[in-house]
Parts: sequence; C-alpha cells; structure tokens
Amino acid sequence: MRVVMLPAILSLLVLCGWGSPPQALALDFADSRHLLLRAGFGPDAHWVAVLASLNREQAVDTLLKTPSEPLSFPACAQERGVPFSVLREWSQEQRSAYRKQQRACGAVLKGWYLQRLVDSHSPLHERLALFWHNHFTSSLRKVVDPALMADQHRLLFDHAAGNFAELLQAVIHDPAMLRYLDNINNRKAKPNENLARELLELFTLGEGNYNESDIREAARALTGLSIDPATGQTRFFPARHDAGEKTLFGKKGRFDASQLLEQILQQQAAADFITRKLWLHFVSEPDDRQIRELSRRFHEDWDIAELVRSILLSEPFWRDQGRMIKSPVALLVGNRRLLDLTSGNPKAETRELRRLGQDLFDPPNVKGWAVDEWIAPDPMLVRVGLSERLVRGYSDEAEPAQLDFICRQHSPELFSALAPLVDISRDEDCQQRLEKVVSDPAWQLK
Amino acid sequence: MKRRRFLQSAMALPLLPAPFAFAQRQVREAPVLLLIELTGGNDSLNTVVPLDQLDVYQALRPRLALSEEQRLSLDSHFALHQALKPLLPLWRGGEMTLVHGLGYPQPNRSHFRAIEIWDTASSSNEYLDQGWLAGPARSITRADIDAIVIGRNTAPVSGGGSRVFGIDSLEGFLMQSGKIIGIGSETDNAALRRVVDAQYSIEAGNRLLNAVQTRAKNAHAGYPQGSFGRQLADASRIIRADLGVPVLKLALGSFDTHRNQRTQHARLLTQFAQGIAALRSELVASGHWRSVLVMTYSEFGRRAAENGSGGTDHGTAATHFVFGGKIRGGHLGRHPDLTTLQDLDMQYSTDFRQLYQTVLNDWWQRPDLRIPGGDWSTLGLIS
Repeated sequence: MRVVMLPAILSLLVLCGWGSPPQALALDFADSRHLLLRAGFGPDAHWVAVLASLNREQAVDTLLKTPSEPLSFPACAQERGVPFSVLREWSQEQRSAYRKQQRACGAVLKGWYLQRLVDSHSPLHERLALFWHNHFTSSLRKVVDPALMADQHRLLFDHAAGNFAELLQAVIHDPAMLRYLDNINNRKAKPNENLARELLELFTLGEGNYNESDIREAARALTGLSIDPATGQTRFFPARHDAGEKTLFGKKGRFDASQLLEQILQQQAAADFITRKLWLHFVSEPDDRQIRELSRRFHEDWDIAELVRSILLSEPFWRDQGRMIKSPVALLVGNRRLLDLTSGNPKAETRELRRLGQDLFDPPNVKGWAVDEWIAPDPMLVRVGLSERLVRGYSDEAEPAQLDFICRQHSPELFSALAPLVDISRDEDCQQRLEKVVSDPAWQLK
Repeated sequence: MKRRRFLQSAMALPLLPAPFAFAQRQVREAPVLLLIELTGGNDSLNTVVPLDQLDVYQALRPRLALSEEQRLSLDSHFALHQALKPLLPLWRGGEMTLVHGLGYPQPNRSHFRAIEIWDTASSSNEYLDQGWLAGPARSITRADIDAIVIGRNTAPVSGGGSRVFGIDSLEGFLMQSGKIIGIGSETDNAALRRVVDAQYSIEAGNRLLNAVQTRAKNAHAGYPQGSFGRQLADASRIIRADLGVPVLKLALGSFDTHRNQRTQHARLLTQFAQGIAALRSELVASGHWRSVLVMTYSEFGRRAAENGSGGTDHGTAATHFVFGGKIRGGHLGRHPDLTTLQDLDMQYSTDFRQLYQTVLNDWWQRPDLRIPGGDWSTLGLIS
C-alpha cells in the first residue's frame, strides 16, 4: 500500500510547489507589495499589474531593466553658474541678488526631484540614485550652484546601477563634491584632509579599515584636484599637486587621485563596506555570511546591478516583510503613487520633507540624512498628518478606475506591509478604511 | 514587559495623591476649547439659511433649497436646517453664536490645501509649520500633554514640539493599549516597536486616560449613535476629569456632499445637534459648561448654486457655530450677499483668524499669544 501511495503523495506535493525553488513560483500579492515597497516606493496600480504574473527572479529583473525617462532638469538648473572669477567683480548687492536666485532655483530643483519620483516608470533605478545621493553626499547649502548639484545628480543617476569603480572615480572628480568637501583648498603647501577623510570613512572603507596616516597620504594624493574658476568645471592644477611618494595601505607610489581610488578599491574592505550598506538599505538586519559571499563577488566586478539583484533574491530579503521604516520620501511618494495623486504641491511637500528629516539635495552633513531621527513623536504627527491629508475626500474625487483598484479589486489595508494594529471593522466604507489604514502605525513600515 | 506592568500598577491606584485634589478646582475652571472639524467642507448655506435672501437662495438651488417646512426660524433673518432642532434651546438660552461669512482672501478650494490653511492659520499663499493651537496649548496646559485629539487630523494642535495625544476613542485606546503595549514590548519587530512608541506616546497617554477612568464615569445617555456621538461622550469624560488639557478636538463628516446632499447632510446635522445638546446637558450638570467653548470649522463652505447631481461643489465662505456657557450668543459677522458672488462663490466678510484671535484673547485671556499674519481684531464672542 505504502509503496503505491508514495509517488501519488510526491506528485501532490510537487503540484503544491514543494520542492520547487521559491523563485519559480509566481509572486503572491504580499510578495509583490513587499518587493515594491523595498525596491521601489510602494505598490501602485501599474506595477502591481506588471508583477502579478511574474516569479521573484522575473520581477526583480523587470524592475532592474525597466528604463528610466531621460533626466531633464528644470531650466534654472541647466544654466551654467556665473564663474567665481566673474562673481568676484560684482557688487555686494549683485552677488546677494544672484545668491537669492540660486536659492530659489534650489527649491525648484527639490520640487522637480520629488515630482520625478512620483512620475517615474523605473522606481528601482530612482531608488538606487537616491541611495547614492545619500551616500556620496553634497549639499546645495554648501555647493550653492544648483547646476553643479544637478550635474552631480546626473552622474549618480547614470552610474546608479552600473560599475562602482567608475562611479567612485566620477564622483571624486565631480566639481560639486570637490567644493563640498573642500578639496578646492587642498594643495601641496596647505593640505586639507576633508575629502580624504570622508572618502575613506564614509564613502569606501569605513572606520577601522584605514589609519590616520592613510588619510594624510590620501589627502596628498588628492592635492591639485580643484575647480577652474572660469568654467566652474573640474580642473587639475599640477602646481598644487603633491607628486611625491606616498604610502597607502602599506604600498608605496606617487599616487594621484585616480590611483588613490584604485588603491582603495583593491581593499576587500571597500567591497565589504558598500555591500553591507546596500544590503542594509534593502534588508533590516545583516546576514554576515551572505554579505561576505556577495562582497567577494562585488570585489571582482563592482557590478552594482548584480549585487542588488542578489540581495533582492536572497531569502532574508523575502522574509523581512514590514520590518523597516519608510523614509519620508518613500512615505510621501508612495502615497501619491498608490493613490494616483500625481499632481501635488512640490514646494510645500519639499518643506514637509525637510521637517521630516529628508531634505533632498540638502543632507544635514556629509553622513547624510539622520535616519535615526525619522521616527519620534513629533515627526510621527507630521507623517500621519500628511497621509491623512492626502486621502481627504479621496473616495469622492478619485478617478473611478483608481477607486476600483484600491477599494474593489483590493482593499486599503492590503497595501500595508503589516496588518493594521487598529481594528478595521468589516462594515466600514472604503474611505473610512483608507483613513484608518494610513493613520495606523503599520503604514509607516515597509 | 516593563510597560504592561506599568499600566497594571497605574490602574490599581484608587486614590489620587493629596496635592492633586487642591489643584482640581482650579483645573475645573481652566477654560477648554473643544474644536469640531466638519470634514469635507460643510454646506453652511443649507445649514443656516439667510431668510433675507430667500428668493435668490431658491433660484440658486431649485432642488436643494430648504422649504419652509424643512427650516426652523431663529429670527426674521435666519433659519436652521430642521435637523438642528435640538440646538434651539441653546439658541434661546444665548449659548449659541453663529459667525457668518468666515473665510479669507484668495480662498483655496482643494481639500488638502484648504484644511492646511485653516489648521495653521496661514494666508492662502504661505506655508506654516505648526497648527494655530500648538503654541497656545503648550503655553496654557496644566497637564503634561497639550491637546487631545479624538479621531482624525491633529494638524491644528501639532508642530513645534507640542505634545498631542491622538486616539480613536477612549474605550478603544484603553482596550487596545494593552494590545499595543503588548506589541510594543513583545514584538521582535524593532521598527514596529519604534513606530508604536512614537505614535502612541504611551506613558503620558496612559497616565491621563487612567485618570479619566477613575474620575469621570460615562453617565449620560442621549448622545447620538455612531462615531461622533462616541467622540463627544469621550470628550465630555475628559473634560469632567479636570485634567487641565486646554484643547480637545473631534471630527464629524464627511460633509463633502457633491452628490445626493439631502440625505447625507440631514443625517450629519442630526448627529451634530443631538450630540451638542447631549454634551451641553452633561456639562451643565457637572458644572463645566461655563468653562467650555465649542467651535466648529471646515476647510471651506460650498457653492451657492447646486450642481447637477443633487449636491454642491467646493466653495468658500461659511457660517460656523460657537457654543458655550459663557458666550454672548446671537449673530456675529455678515452673511455674504448671494447676488454678488465671486467666481460663483460667496465672498467672506470675517477673516477666520479674527475668530481664532478672539479665542486666544478673550477665552483664554492671553492676548500675548498671536495668530500669525496680522494684528487680528477680535469679535464680541465671550460675555
């Protein structure tokens, strides 16, 4: 009897998916939501439909490969900044007025970025660009020229899912970065260690993987890399460069900026650092074994897309539902994308983002946004309030197709990473459910 | 684990320490503002009908205009929607004031933006970071929180570090706080724990609401069925518990009646009137009515003319209600002229910020607290 039954049982089990690798199975709604919350800005009608019939691998690949719209910055950020050599000749009033104009353009740039995220067809790419934006930090406040910040953003965007070695070379030679970390003042006679220190501590190796001597030597290697006062673009000044022999990580050579970066990238610690940071961007807790494995491969090819793909296909990622907190940008952009409220008030919303601790193009310091401060009683009120305001009058004013998606095909609470804590009684209408869902603690999670 | 024990031991305390008792009488007399948000934009033209303009009113609203049987005259100039019948005794007792033509220049008709303007007392084109009551509540409170919001939208009281406690209902919170505290202490989801802690400010809230439980019983029948009635009953208990929290806020809605307004509006106004009447009688009995000011507001009024779906669309100026045991009663402000509409909408005659400043100056006796945007002169609201 038993011998006959066994194949039948096995067949049944195979039919139920047991024994197939999880990747082969089509995503269920919860998985799809999880992937969109972590790898994008949250579920929306379009992407829910796209992912519905895909399995994990296909879904991740689709997200990775969907092309983005070309970057088209607001006009004021495309105008070349007035070069310092010209500004020097202006009167105080003229300079003041110009600065004011630049600040206004900065505000426009922030609003533009927010709207771009709402409209984007390629949320994973945008998310990666935002990640690098907060990794290779610079700020409008210090850099001042919105065109330089726009240029830096283009660079980060173009390399976001590309080759980390190329990204690093490009960013360290970027004028906004050179200005932000004072490398324009770093010269042989009077070295300035700011860029060198942050490069090692925050951008590549992390504390404990270099010593003070490495910083000093790195600063020497970076001397002379500055900005041309006439064009505002990067320029190397050989006269200011310390071409002498340096000792970096135990190795001797007359390293210049590019060679410095090559030396840094030789260190396994660099791959470890970036891999771990990217891992923790997508998963709430580190998995040391997997990170080590991924980092080894990353060190060989520096392929960001491949690394991200591996993270997003890892088991820890898929088990991690609802265990991370939405960033202020993800909360706001996610709400608007889900509810298809594509036109908002960028000016007011960027102010709100600042209140919530995520000022686009303006991190408080080189470490980036203070993520630990995003959740506290005061910002919570703003976070809940912003979602509540967005859904106000929704069921009355939303497009019928959109309401159908939120209320009939699905139900508001299904878009939450975790079931709401507060009871959603069965007989409340969709508008009431929506209001309760977005005010619930669970809505803050992804 | 820690928190659950805290809650349990707090509930075991039967008596209040002696110094509290002294403070209680002063606290009872500390004036409270009960703000009621009519969400979605109340159609005040069908709530308070200007009898002097009856012809125009009926021409603008052939289907929706209230007929004589559907109105209750207050005087020769104004009538109430019949659903507001329970408010008549308050009117006659001088405990109800109607403030007409409340609005502001360059009115905004988007829910999202308009409610922000009313909540922050900003001008139409400026963006302010905190609710108009955030600073005042913090300055006036005698408790360790500044405001309690039951239901949605804490914006009028939040910002600038104000300590706001937001709940859906007293009972719900006390029932769920066990669950929430449990989640907070037992879950291994650190992110969830942080969010719950931040959102519920559990300790302060528990202290306060436990005080409500011990000091003020749920007494009165007479509150209407439904969420608003429950909110009012909770607000009454909080007031009668003499916590010293100066601002409470509730919400009733939705008044966003673009379609089939007749039934929805009547239903909401019935709840409103029954609720206010029940609240009044409970607070009169407890001796608190003279220290309570109830005020409605809404993101906008509605169009003077009806639309093609038996409803009304977003508008501008509106009449709002103020109730209390210490007000003058009657009319304030001027009802908009229905023959001089601007972009099809009623023009405001009284800036809402004047009403707000009146609350600060005359209700709380704090003329040092300023509503932003100007030197707002006050209205003769308080007697």
